[in-house]
Amino acid sequence: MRKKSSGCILIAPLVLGCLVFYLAPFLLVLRFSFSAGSGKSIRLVGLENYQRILRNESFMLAFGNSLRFFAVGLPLIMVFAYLIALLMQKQADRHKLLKSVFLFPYIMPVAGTVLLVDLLFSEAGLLNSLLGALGLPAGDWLAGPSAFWVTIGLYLWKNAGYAVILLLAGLITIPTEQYESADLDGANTWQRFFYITTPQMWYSVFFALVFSVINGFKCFREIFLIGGQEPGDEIYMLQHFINNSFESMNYASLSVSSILLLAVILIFFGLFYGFVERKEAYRA
Amino acid sequence: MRAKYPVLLCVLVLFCLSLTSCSAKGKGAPLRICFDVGNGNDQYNGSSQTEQAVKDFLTDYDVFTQKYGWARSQDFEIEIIPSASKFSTERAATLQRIRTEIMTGGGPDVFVLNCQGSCVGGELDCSERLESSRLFPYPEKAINGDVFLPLDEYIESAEMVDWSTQQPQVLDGGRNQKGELVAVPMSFTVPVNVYREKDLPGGVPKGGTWAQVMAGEDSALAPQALWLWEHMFAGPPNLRAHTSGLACLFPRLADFEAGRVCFTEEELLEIIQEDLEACRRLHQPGKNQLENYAAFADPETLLDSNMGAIFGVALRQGEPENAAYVPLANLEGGVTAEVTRYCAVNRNTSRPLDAFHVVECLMDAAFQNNSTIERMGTWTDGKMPVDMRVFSREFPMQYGMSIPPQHFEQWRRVCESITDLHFPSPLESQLEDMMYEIQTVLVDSLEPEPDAFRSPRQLDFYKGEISHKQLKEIVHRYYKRICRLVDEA
Repeated sequence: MRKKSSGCILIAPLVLGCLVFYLAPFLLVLRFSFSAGSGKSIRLVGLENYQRILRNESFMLAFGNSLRFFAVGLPLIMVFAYLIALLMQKQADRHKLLKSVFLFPYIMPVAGTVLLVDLLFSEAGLLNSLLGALGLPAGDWLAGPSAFWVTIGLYLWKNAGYAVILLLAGLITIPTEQYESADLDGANTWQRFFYITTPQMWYSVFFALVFSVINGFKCFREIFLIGGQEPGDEIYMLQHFINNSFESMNYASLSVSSILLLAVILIFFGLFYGFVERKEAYRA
Repeated sequence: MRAKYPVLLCVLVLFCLSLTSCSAKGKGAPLRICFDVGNGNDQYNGSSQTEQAVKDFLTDYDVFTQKYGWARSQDFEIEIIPSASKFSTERAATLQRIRTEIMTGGGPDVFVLNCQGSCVGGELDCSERLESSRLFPYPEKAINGDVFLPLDEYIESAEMVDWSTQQPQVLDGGRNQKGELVAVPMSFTVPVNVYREKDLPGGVPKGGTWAQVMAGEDSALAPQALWLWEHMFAGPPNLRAHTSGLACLFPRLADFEAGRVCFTEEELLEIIQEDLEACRRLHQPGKNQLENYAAFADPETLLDSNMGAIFGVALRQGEPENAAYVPLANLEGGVTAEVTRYCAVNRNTSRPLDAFHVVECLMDAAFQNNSTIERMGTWTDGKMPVDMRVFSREFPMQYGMSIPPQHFEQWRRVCESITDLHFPSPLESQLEDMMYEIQTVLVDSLEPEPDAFRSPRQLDFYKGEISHKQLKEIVHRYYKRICRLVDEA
């Protein structure tokens, strides 16, 4: 009993911090999403804000673009990172510095990243110079449909290393004896991958996925610096809408957008976590 | 023991809920007045021109209000939003802080804000449009969004100002949908061209929509056709200081409540095409030169939206020729004016009466005539104060300068004809930017000339060529941007 209460005391600061800095703002956002006005003039309007935002074309565009970004970016980063992690699995202990190298793009300052993108993809950038030298027409890579793929590339380049490290951490926990006995049983590479590696990696994949989503949201900083406050349709993300709504003091819109975004993320993670749990339960 | 956890959790949630309802300050706090009245490049004698004007305001406030026994200026806390060109980061941080304060039920008690679409700077290095970084980028939305306190009750019992002398047409622009006056316009401008009376032999044209004026063959009205492009002569968007061109053709640009733009892309395209045709038809080389119709010989003065320049001429000339002031008719036949500065009281204020007293002082005729802060928004900035008497012979400004009676009478008639009012926002800027881009295409199609800045070549833009496809593409691009801004507003 005494042990329990001392435990409660120990976690109290953390719990209190979470409540004050996370729960209180969340409740505030929730209240704004069902209200009109602000401060003393705030009044409840029920679901009106939600109905309104679902008719808002810019919100739908931003929401669609953000979903598209994750729908394309997440599978790519996971596959890409998983492949690199698998290739590195056996070498992980031998080349420890290599793991650090993978994190270099991740720790690169945003301004540096944007300068690099500009150097490569601007109208007078390296890519256009190269195309010009080959006699091919230059393109406007940071505007139009290509801008979306530039941001996807940027996301992969910057964050894949981080996902590699997370997945590699999972891979090296798999006992080598399991692979050795599989070899003795005559299992080929695919069979080893599907029957030994994959079943033991679900939690690591889930963890890497969570961080890739977080890093995806962080990628907005680069997109903002590339496309500005009002970028082209292709890279107009939900954060643009939320940020601009805040500047216009449209608290209802930004609150509803945030709540809807949270709902989608929770549903996605909930489903994936359920899937992982089922796999783990089956394995157990 | 187990039952305690839900109870504890409920207590904590209630605690968090109470945190969300916290107000920023109590009743004993000083009266906070927020000023954003600079033009973005107001460095002046080593210190900010706004800072100096605000200091003068505090001194004037005490002088003007000493007989009423109101709160003294020592009780005020002044907040000047940093200049955009010199301190853009500080400005952004200040705006963010104030917006958050308002959101959580606090914020300054009184706002004195410019909404004129000035550029940041005015110098060659200015790179950002200022209206996009105003505290309330869409004042019309704020007016209907319960941000400001209704002032009608206070106005009824006002001690200092005779509110009946304020331009009712302009004042009404600050009313919300319920008809309550929540934002008080302090200065405004109207798109008007000034003619010599003798240059309009047929008399001052009466009535009609903008389309009817454009369709007419009265070449005396040629400057009206040029109005939409007039501001472009000053250079690219980041160098311009006015936003009363194309936007003034629309009685209303957007319905923020419904979240929609009040005109279609096709209408916008049609207006530009019609106007370009009218420019080409009315301005024939050697025949209908602008100078023939200019009130004061100089087409730039004639077409200048800057009323200060027009009145400046009137002031300097003593008793000039009789003039005819012809406002630009909007699409519905009315006249759209633009508020360039307004003041308002925060609905979250705990000292509404003291806050109203500041507003009252700002709207006093003598104060509007003589205080530095008012002159910064009117005479020196080329805009007119809302009090109908200011700048007349009866209420001259400093050094006894006033507007000649005939001109003043004309001006009053223009004011009476105002039917609609805009508070400039990023929407107006988009229209201006669009016009500039079209004009650039037109100018670029002319024979090359080394100096394009304010050159005759630029004034002759309407002789240039632009394909329908190009025009459509530019209009489409900007219309989409405007729709997005309305969605985000």
